[in-house]
Formats: sequence, structure tokens, C-alpha cells
Amino acid sequence: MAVIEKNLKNRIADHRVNRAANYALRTATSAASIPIWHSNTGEMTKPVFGAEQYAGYSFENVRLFIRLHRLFREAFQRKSDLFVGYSKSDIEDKAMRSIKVVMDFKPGVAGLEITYEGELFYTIIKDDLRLYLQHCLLEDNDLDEALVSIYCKDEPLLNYSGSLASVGLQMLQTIQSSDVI
Amino acid sequence: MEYPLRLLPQSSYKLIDCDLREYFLIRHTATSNLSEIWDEELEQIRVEHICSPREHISDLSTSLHGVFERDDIYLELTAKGKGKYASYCAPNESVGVPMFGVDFVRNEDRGAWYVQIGYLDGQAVAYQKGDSSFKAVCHVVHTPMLWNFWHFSLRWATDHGNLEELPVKEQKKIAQKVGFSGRVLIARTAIVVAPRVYVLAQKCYKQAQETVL
Repeated sequence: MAVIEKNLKNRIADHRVNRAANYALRTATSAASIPIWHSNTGEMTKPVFGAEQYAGYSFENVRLFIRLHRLFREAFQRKSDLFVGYSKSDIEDKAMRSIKVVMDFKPGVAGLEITYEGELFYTIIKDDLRLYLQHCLLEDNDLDEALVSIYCKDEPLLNYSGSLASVGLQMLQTIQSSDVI
Repeated sequence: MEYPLRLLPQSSYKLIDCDLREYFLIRHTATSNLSEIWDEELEQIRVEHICSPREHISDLSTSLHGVFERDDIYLELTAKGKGKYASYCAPNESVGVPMFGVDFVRNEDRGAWYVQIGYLDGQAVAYQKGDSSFKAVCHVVHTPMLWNFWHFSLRWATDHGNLEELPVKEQKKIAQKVGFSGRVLIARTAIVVAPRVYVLAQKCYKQAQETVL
């Protein structure tokens, strides 16, 4: 019974993702107001994955956004034992924050994994740049602690640690101040 | 199946004292499925295969590829074997031969990745966080074990001191940064296709024999 329920929840979540994606793809070029979808199914009672997430993203970036979210969900499911005692929606909210930081960078390719220490580890490729971003999901005190390393070919450009917001800012500043793009 | 004696410490051995920068380290993975280990799109190893959940990337176990061959990654110590053989030792320690089925088994559901020592040893990383900074240097250290003379560890020296001597909270923070640096270094440089095997000269690991007149 539990398995059936779990499968059903996954299907509902998948449907929600697909529906949101289809809608976003249809409206990506028309910047009309985008509704926020609320879900009353299962444990998700707030807008977790609505079309508003895609606002301003190109077609390719919408696909990448969906891919990262799917990778997160798959990794989270495989490593759920790391998050015992934590709220799933809190973890997902955190993940969405770093996914958005990654998307702000408009990457060409990006991958996401969850480490055995409960961190999100992103690899981001854009032109000659390779960025590695780690976002801690389980830290006790420092909210949204993150680390980043940026390389241009084999040259290190930046190693920085701090809040996710400050890391995101450093990433963008480093890219803008370098002549690599 | 017999345990390969070439892997065990021997009375004539010493710690390896040659420049190993062009040599490769090999490390097993929990799966032999290459598509699980290697991310085609990113053209790099998936970081979850860098080490197992029980280990810490801040002190990562590997072996020197060469005398330790690709197929040796299939050797898996049993619980009993770990109790007897999974300890550091002197390079010339006298060791009994592990017994198949008792001390070790053959696990062919394993894959491997390789990384050139020169890409890791001596690599320094520095992080800035507000007014504070953190520096660490990666060292590849020969750390023979009772089951494997060719065992090497990836360790980190930090400007905050040795990891294990730091207060728990600071240790956790430092280990997190060191772990990230290790992941990045290995993700950038690890390969899954067997590299060229460099033959290590015996003088690098065998003690000089005394000449009897």
C-alpha cells in the first residue's frame, strides 16, 4: 500500500512538473502575468514548482531548470536516509534556492548530485568556464552556507565560501570581471 | 583464489621515496556500470563515486596503479579480514597471507577511476569568507596497510592545524571545505579509462641490500 501511495505521489509530482513546463514553454516569450499553482495533494500544500519559477528563462534554460529539479528529486530519493529528521519541503526549498543561483548564471550544461555529507554539488559549464558549487543542506547554524570554485580551462579564477547569496554574487562578479565570455 | 602476494608488505620493503608525479592512483567504485560512474554530458566522474558513504574525502584511500593492477580492485576484505588487515603498518611488516572466503572475497561488481598524482600532490587551495581565510594543501602520502603495501592516502594540511586535532565544530567546517576541494580536484582530473602503467623501479620501494664481504 505504501509503495502504491509513493508511486502515486511521484506521478502527481511528475504531472505537476510536466504541466508547469508545458505552460512555461508556451508562455516563455509572452511575458504576461504567470499564475502560481497551488497543490492540495499529498504533503505539498504550497506552490513548490509553478510556472513562476520559469519567468525570464529561455526555452533551453527551462529544460535545464527541469533537469536540475529532476536530478535533485532522484538524488534526494536515493539518499533520503541522510535527511531523516529534516522536513522534505525545507530541503526542497533550499535546493530550489541554489538551483536558481545556478540558473542566474545561464549555464550551457549543469549537473547536480547530493554528496554523502548531505550537500548539493553542482558542476556548471559555460563556454570555457567550469564552476563547482556546493550548497550545504544540513548545516546547523550558518544559513545557506555554500562554496564555489571557478576555473577557466585549467586556470583557477575563484575559491569562495559564504552564504549562498554572497557566493552567487561572487560568481557573477568573477564572470563579469573576467574576459572569458 | 589466492591472494596476490605482490600486494603485501615484505621485509625488504621501505616507504616509496621516488618522485611519483607521473604515476596514477586507482580507486574502486561501488558499481562496475560505467554510465553510473561517468557523466557523459559533463565529461567527468560523478562525485558520489569518489568515495563511499563510510569514508571521508578528507582522508581518501587509494592505491598506486602499477603493481596494484586494475583487477586487484575486485579484492574485498570481509568483516573478519578488515579486523585483521585493514590497519596501517610499517612497509616491512611481516604479514600472514589473507585467505579467500575468510579474509577476502572477489567482488566483480566494482569499477575504478584513476587520477595522476601530479594533479593532486601539492595542490593548494585558499578560501576567503568575510575577513577570515582558509588555506589547505593536498598531499598524496604512501600509507602501507597490512593488506596492501601500495596503499596511498589523500590528505590535507591546513593553516588551522591538523583536522583531527581541531575542536569538533571547527573540524566539521574545515572538513567540509577540504572535502569540497578534494571533490573538485578529483572531478576535474579523474579518468575511468585505464591509463598507461608506469613501472616503478625496485630501488624506490626496496631497501638497499647490505654487501657482505
